Amino acid sequence: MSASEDREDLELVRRFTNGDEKAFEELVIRYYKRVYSAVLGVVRNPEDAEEATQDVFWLVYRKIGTFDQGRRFFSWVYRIALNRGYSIARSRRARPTVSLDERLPAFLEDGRLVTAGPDFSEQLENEITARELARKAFDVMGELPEQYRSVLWMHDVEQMSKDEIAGILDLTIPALKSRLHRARIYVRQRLAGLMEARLAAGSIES
Amino acid sequence: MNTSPTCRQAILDLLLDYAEGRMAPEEKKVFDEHLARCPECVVFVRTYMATEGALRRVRPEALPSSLVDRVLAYIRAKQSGGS
Repeated sequence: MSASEDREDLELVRRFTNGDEKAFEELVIRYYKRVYSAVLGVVRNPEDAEEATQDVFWLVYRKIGTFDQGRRFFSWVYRIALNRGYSIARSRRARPTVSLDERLPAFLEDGRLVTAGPDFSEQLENEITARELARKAFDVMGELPEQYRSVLWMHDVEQMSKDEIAGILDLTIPALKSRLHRARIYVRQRLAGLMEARLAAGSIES
Repeated sequence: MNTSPTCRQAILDLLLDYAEGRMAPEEKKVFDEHLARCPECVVFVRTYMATEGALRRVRPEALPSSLVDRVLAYIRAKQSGGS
């Protein structure tokens, strides 16, 4: 996001707080896609994501007076989007949260890795298997605790910068990197496990 | 500081910076030396990077059509409903 976009945002916010409804519409047009993507990462289905998107903009509309104009508008909106997404996700289901520690790779006493599991990296080389791997990664992400899932979604899926994410989540860069790394390791472990199960099933069938 | 890392240190503490190419040349050299001796870590690093590659390919499904119109209509309805 560029500095000129930030300035344009603030100008639209100023116009809106002075009573210009068109300026609010412009903000919606500007950000509805990104808000939809942000909440989809949390609620994980299109119907809830659409409902959450509407709620987010209604909250933005009502709460614009509390926005600190010294900060980035979109970071503020993103935070509202995450919170709205979290509360919808919580109301939908009580999914037991996994413990990331239980899925850490196993090491021997001397620090040696027991096994990395199958090498599934070549799956990315073929369009069909790559898409399948991406779908599995998306499914597995749903098991992560919220604070890990959001970081992984923002960084690896939405490809936002670490500075932007740290600003939105109010995290230090080292704390952000630690969450990102642990979340990725969790997804890697699960993908390796799924692949192993499939290899085992395949060898029984053949 | 150039003692060889264990697999645990390599994977838990160093891998993120390695994968992102953010290591100082000295550190990277030590990490690469570990990989040269450790086939399991090679697979781990490759699949860690592949995991990131898979996540990059996760794309939000197509936006529902006319979402923007529905959002704007929703706001207008809320305004006039006064709730």
